[in-house]
Amino acid sequence: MELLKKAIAGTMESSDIMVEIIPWEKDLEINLKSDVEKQYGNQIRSLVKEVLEEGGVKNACVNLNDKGALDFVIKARVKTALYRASQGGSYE
Amino acid sequence: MSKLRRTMLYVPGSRPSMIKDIYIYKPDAIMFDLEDSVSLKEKDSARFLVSEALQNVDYRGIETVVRINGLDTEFGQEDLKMMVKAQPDVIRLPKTETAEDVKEVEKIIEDLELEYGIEKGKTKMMAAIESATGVMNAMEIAKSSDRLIGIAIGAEDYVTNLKTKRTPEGTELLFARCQLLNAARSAGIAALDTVYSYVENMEGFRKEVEHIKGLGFDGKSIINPRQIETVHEVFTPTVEEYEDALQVLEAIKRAEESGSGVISLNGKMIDKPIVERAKRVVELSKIN
Amino acid sequence: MDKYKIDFKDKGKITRKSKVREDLEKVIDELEIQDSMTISFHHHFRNGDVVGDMVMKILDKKGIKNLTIFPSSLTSAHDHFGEYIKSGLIGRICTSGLRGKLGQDISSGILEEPVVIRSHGGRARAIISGDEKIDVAFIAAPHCDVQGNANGFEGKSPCGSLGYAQVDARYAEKTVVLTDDLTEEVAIPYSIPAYDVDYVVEIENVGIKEKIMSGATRAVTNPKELLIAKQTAQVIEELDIVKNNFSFQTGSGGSSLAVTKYLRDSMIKKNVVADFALGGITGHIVKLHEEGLVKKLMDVQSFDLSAVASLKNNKNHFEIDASYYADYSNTGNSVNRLDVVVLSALEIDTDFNVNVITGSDGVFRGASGGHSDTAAGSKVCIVVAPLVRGRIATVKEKVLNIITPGSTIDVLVTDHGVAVNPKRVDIIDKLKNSKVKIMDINELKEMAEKITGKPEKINYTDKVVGLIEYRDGTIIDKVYQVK
Repeated sequence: MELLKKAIAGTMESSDIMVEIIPWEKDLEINLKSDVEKQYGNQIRSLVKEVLEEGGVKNACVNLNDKGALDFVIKARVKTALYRASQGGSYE
Repeated sequence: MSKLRRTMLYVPGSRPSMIKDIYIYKPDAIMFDLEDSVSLKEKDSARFLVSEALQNVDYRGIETVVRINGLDTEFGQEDLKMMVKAQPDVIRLPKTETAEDVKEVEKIIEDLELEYGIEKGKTKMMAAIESATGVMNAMEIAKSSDRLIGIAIGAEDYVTNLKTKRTPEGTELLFARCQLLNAARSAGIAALDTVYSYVENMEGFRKEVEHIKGLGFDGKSIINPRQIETVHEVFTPTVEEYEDALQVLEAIKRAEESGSGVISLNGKMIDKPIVERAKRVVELSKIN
Repeated sequence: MDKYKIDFKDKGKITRKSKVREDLEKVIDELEIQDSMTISFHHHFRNGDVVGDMVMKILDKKGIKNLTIFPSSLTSAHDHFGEYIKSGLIGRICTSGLRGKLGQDISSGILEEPVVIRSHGGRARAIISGDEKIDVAFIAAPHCDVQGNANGFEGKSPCGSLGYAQVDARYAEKTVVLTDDLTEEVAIPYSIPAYDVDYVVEIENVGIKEKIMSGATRAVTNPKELLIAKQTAQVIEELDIVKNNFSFQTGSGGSSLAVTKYLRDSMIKKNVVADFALGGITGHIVKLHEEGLVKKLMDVQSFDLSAVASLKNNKNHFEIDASYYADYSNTGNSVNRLDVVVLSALEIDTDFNVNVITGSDGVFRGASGGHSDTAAGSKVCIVVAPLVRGRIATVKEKVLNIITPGSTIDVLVTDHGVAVNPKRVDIIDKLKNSKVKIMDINELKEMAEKITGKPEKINYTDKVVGLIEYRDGTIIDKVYQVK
């Protein structure tokens, strides 16, 4: 997937995660701010990485603000941000 | 016994906090909405959210329904593409006016099922009728597809179309309700009533539920979990009804065993419709 | 004999106002407070408390060091107390609750000496037994007369019951009452008798009115809380607890609060009148009392203005002190007479041990309160909680810290199902043939983990930052510093 612009998905509501994806030349960088950093920080980072890799994204800065989102919500928000960043390109 | 659809609980497809555990309220069906309760900006995010939810959350065997945006909008096609893949039990069409509307969507679903390797016919459909034209075409809509498991009435848009407004008595909805019901029964599918928005008015709500149950509806759309209990209560047979039904079934059994043809109970002839009703009452009672 | 001889000119003037002082600082000087002393205050003013900080400021200015502060609990009003730890003023803390910024500070290890966490009953026991000796008790009172009789239900910022403070006043070396409503008229009925009071100081505001309490406790509308409450009321009914002259205690938060409403429905349906309701008293419980459904109210802490008004006006609404409420060593304590108590929990494990003091990240964010006391005293103890809060599982393999041992917890009601402590064969029997479906608590734990994913273990250091003292004085758990 080719990222054409930066995009945001998700809200700051409880159980949600705000995902900002900014395409850049550098390698993948994931910045996480989470209510549950200690318990799930690593799990969240690796899940986000997985979704990005599936989408063939290697060069982006991903900023995450998590309010205790479950895995399926994280997946959905990251996929949405990618969709918006690629301006509606197919996820597959 | 045919599937219970006493309550269909609406969940906005854009709210993770509600989607993640809506099953705890044990409605008969859950409707994830991609349409009216989702803002235009969030149509895409709701689509992804509901898709991931359907594939990852265990909804405890509760029937899952997704209300997509109409094909006449820019979102309908994408909704169908993603939702058929996520495999909810039912896809619900908004604002259905003709049999063509249903057939159009059915064709797309069929193609998608083929593309995704899903068993043909697995994805069921539901049609919401929300306009005068739709109400007048209720019969053709109800019979338009084998996938159609039910039709529902959407009162807000309908009464606006009629150029009137909703009242507690609901006279303005009587024709539409009866028309829909008859069409549904003729086609052998379910009939669902519209939402009741005044969540605080439990008394008014109960009256409406009793009214539509009396008309013959299978159930109602619910917008707040607090409404579920009332609907299930109203749709549950009373102790008397249960005992009467048991008596009927007993009488049938005795008649069958003794080989007699005509059955009578307490001076009343019991024929097929009465037996059918009795069976349903017993089954409904067992749920509670 | 000479000491009691009064010159006729001085008759009637001596003891009446002799305790009254205008200046708190002068009183503190007079008291000669020294390093390493123990001072106490109560938390009946909750987030609107000002007296605690007022005293700390003065003591800090005077360069006092290494005090033990011994409040009945700490609230957001004490969030900045980390500064006093850093300045060396506070060397030790004993409290029921620890949250917010102060909770985080303590969890990160700023205090050398571990905090001692006690329940309300446990605190009373410690004071009465002499395990903790209070040098000076500072008691904020909404209403006080010049001789020192004080109560909490009159004045411009009433707080209701002063139950926690009553024990302090009785046993402290010296007691200072601070009030913004000082009267010449005798303040009877009193919560604190004048003979337990040494000084009375008039101050401008005894508390921040809006933060002390709400006008009325909110009605519960959250569907999840209602779901849990309804299920709980069903359990209570199936256990045959709702009978004439039964007694109960319900909490003030979420589901626990909503249970009161369903209990009411049940009582009306069965034509039952309860003997008493205990605890933290809310307007919802007052309503039951005023409707004639509950004969007496025993109030150790009033939660809203409705409860305050009732305490003042209803003759069967009694103020009780912390020892009478929940002290394990008090042969007349009320928790031992409870038929049922409904409590909340931050965490509960598969042995039914409950944690209400630290969050799943190991940081202080709760209070022991009356939890372990009521659990131990009541015939049936029901814990209510959602299975998952956000991404945090409530039910797990092992809780991080134990406040209430599982042996005293009987039933867990969550939004995903009900579990019963296997030791309570009698309860399992009763519920077996009822509409309430019981699950194994391990099943609930698995369910929770499936939803949230397995959390990583919390990393601690070796430093003990908290000691959890059970109501009988034994240390049942330690809280470690979070890395």
